[in-house]
Amino acid sequence: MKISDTLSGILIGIFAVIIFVMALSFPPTPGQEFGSGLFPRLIAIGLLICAVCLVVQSWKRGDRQRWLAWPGLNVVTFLRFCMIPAALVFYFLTAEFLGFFISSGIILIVTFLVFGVRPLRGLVLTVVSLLVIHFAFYNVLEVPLPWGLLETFAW
Amino acid sequence: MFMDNFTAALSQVTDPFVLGVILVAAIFGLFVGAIPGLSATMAVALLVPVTFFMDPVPAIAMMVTSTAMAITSGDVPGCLLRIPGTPSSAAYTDEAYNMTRKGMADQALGASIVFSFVGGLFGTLVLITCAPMLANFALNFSSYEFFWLVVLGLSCAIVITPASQLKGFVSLLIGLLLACVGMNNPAAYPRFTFGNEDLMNGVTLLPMMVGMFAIAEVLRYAVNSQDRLGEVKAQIGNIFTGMWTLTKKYPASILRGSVLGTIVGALPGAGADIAAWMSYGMSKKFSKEPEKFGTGHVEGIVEAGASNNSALAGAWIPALVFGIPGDSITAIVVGVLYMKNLTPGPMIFTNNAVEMYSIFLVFIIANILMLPLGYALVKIARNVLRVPRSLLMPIILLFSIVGTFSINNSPFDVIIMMMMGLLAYVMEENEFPIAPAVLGVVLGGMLEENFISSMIKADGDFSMFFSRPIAAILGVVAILIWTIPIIKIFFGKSRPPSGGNEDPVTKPGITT
Repeated sequence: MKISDTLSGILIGIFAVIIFVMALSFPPTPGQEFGSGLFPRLIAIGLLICAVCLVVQSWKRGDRQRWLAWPGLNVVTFLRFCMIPAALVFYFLTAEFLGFFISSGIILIVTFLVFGVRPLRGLVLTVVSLLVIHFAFYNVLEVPLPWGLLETFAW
Repeated sequence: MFMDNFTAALSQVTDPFVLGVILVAAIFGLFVGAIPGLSATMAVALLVPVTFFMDPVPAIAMMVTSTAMAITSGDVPGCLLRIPGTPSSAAYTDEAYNMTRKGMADQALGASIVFSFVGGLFGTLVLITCAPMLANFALNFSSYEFFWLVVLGLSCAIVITPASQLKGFVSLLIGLLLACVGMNNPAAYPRFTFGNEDLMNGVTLLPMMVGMFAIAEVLRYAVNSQDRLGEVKAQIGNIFTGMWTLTKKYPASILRGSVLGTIVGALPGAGADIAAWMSYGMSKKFSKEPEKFGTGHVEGIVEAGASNNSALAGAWIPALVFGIPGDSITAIVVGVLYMKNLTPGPMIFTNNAVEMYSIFLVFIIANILMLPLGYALVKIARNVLRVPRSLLMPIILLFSIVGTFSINNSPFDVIIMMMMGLLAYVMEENEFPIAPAVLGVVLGGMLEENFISSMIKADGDFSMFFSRPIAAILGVVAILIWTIPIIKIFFGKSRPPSGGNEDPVTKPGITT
């Protein structure tokens, strides 16, 4: 995802103003001039200056770059990209109920297949990596990974 | 006293569990380093959740060993396939590959490994001798000195960045802002928490690191996949043949590389990759036969190879003594040190003497292990380099999720990891460097605390920041570093991207 310097400058500038306004409401330490708001305000000012510089620099360069571009974007890459956050969400939604083996197994086999690994190879690797990761966390590091549906098989 | 600490440390390190951890971490580091696109920083980030469940010594041992190995093994694909395994090998990848084409792969690999070992040991020796001395000297530093030290550290991170300094500055400010989140501020007022209880303690460091260094890489792969790296064709014999001759031929290079590497490593923000670039350039400048550079000449590899490994140890000096990380790796390490109650600072050598000796010992062991394991890696390099990344990325993804989730069993950590992964991905895509942001997050609290308490002590009089001699010197240097680039922006032309020759190779996933 390519964001032109002009657009990133504008976005950072808006962001800086929001931060500054939020920081105005932070109360000062009683009896002191320097409270919890000072530092965020300084940062916001710094960001704003940078934002202006970014815009000015790209303007002086005569930037012809499009504001927002994503070279090589197509449905497939977009779905591959979205799969990563989806996998994170999937794990924390289902791990407790389905258990480590099932949740992680689904994540692994799906990502393997999407990345173009042959099914059999993907399956073998899924099983092996699940066992290795489980052994490392559960047995060696004694992390209570959830068993979920497989509770009866717990070891 | 020394002997007591030393024997205690020795028994800590020779514990079978610790030795086992060192060995596993070494193999892991070698593997991660050898796979292009997986960097030494990523190796540490992936290990963070694992170290969370360990005692301090094995935890630190794991990080020390894996990074030392990763930096060294990054040379292997550079030499054999012309793709650096980690950014730190990028400086001399072409040189090493040209040696391979001339049929000198053994010598190139041997030089990489042997002089990495020498440089690593040199850096370790400097760390062992200088860090306690520096700590002693820093014992009576007040908040003024610490404030300026942090400012200086953050400034170096920006000045040295190969990308645009302006973007480096933006990155740093984003990091500092992230450090503001939560109640860890002088007034203990919940800032930017939006009423969310999970944010009260701030943005948790560990998921953030995993997100920025592991998830971001997986995202980059998902969008820009490139699996086939090419086949290794070179014949490799005994890599250690002729290394003694090289040592006798280039003693000055070895020393220069090690010294420069240690210094650059100790500068905050500049790590092994920049050390290697500088040393390679230095080597060419001082060489008797500079015309041979670039054609497959071993001299630059000797010097830069020593340099990047010594930088690794050098980076630990400010990290341990001041809590100011020397590079992104030690930024993660500092986070882990706090987590393990080994609070970095001048007192660390008094309060945690045994642990410090243990760290030193681990450094030495890791560097020695580099020789046999490096030899073994080269033997199986052909197969290691054939592992497609489509097999690794899903495993890295799962490892990051499970590791991060198990630390606090908190879905919130997973969300932080995801947001940070996305942020780091977008930033890097648009040439905003990540290292300053990481330093900003790690140092933000310290910067603010020392700033506010100095301001309170000085009663708002900023000139008091220069009232003590050392503080004044540090302050003047910091201000000079800041003012020069600003003057350049307004009065000169915008700086040409000096990192142009570095960028394509530091991101192997994107190069063709």
